[in-house]
Amino acid sequence: MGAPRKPLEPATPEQRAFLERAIEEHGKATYNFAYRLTRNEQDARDLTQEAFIRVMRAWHSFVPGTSFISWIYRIVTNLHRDELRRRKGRYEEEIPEDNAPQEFGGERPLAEEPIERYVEEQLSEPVARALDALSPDQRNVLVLADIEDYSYQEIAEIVGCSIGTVRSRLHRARHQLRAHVERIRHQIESRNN
Amino acid sequence: MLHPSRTEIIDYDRRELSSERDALVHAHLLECASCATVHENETLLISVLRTRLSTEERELPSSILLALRERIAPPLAWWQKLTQPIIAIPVAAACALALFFGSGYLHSVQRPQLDAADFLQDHNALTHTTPFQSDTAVPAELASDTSGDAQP
Repeated sequence: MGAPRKPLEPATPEQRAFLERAIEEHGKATYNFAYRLTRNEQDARDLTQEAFIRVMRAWHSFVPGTSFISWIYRIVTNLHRDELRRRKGRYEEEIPEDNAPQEFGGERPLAEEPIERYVEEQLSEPVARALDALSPDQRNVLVLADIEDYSYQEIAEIVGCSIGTVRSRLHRARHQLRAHVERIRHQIESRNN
Repeated sequence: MLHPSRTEIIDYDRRELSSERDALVHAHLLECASCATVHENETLLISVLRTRLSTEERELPSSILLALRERIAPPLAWWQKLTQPIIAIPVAAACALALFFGSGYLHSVQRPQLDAADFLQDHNALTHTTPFQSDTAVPAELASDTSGDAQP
């Protein structure tokens, strides 16, 4: 991230103890979440470090009884967004396309071939590349939904947007992943035939 | 029942549908092979993604913890600051230079001088002594020098 380190006021012993415990319990999960968002080790390190500083400073604002890790993820998400804004100068948030309730597809079934087992084994790398190619917002929602297993409501609270936006971002992310995987899958199958 | 859209199948898979719709989609997937394939492929895609990301899972680098501890450390007392390399190294270098040059100076100042009077005194004492004569009294000045070489 490369942002200059702000000088910090010395932490109280209570804050230090809180920070040590938070890192011990959630440090690894936070770092992995940051890595999935940034797809870059150095950025993930900076993001994790900055997030825990925020956690330590704002520990009084944490509401007991709520999920602590969700709170950290929200901080990480906001920091990541700020960093993207700082880098781009202007951060364009995606406008959701389909906030309306989902309708049934219609009379025609969705024509799709099942993914064969031997193809599945070769999809790992393409899926990782497709993840890299997603926009930060889509990747964030995809990771929270499909890896961390949060509900739309929880993701909306973490990301700070509506449930409709979460759903829209997730579906678009899935669509892009699928499109990428389909391309690779056809390449594999045509090579084997 | 009409075929559900893909987004609805995804929402079904994530248990995000209302209970009524959830039941409808569930019943439909049991009957419709095409929609069941869509459902399976979506599940598979996420399974591949999860497997892939689990291989990328990593431990928290210790450098993060060290950097955090450093950033929140309480300020050092003045005497602790002296142990910091930025201060300790120049101070140590200055001390070493002072010792080197200072000791040379002190050495030159305190160097023992040859006293000509000592030679004159010795010479004077010797001139009052007849060599090789046993009854000759040894002057007091030479007594201490010759005590180790006493004649048998």
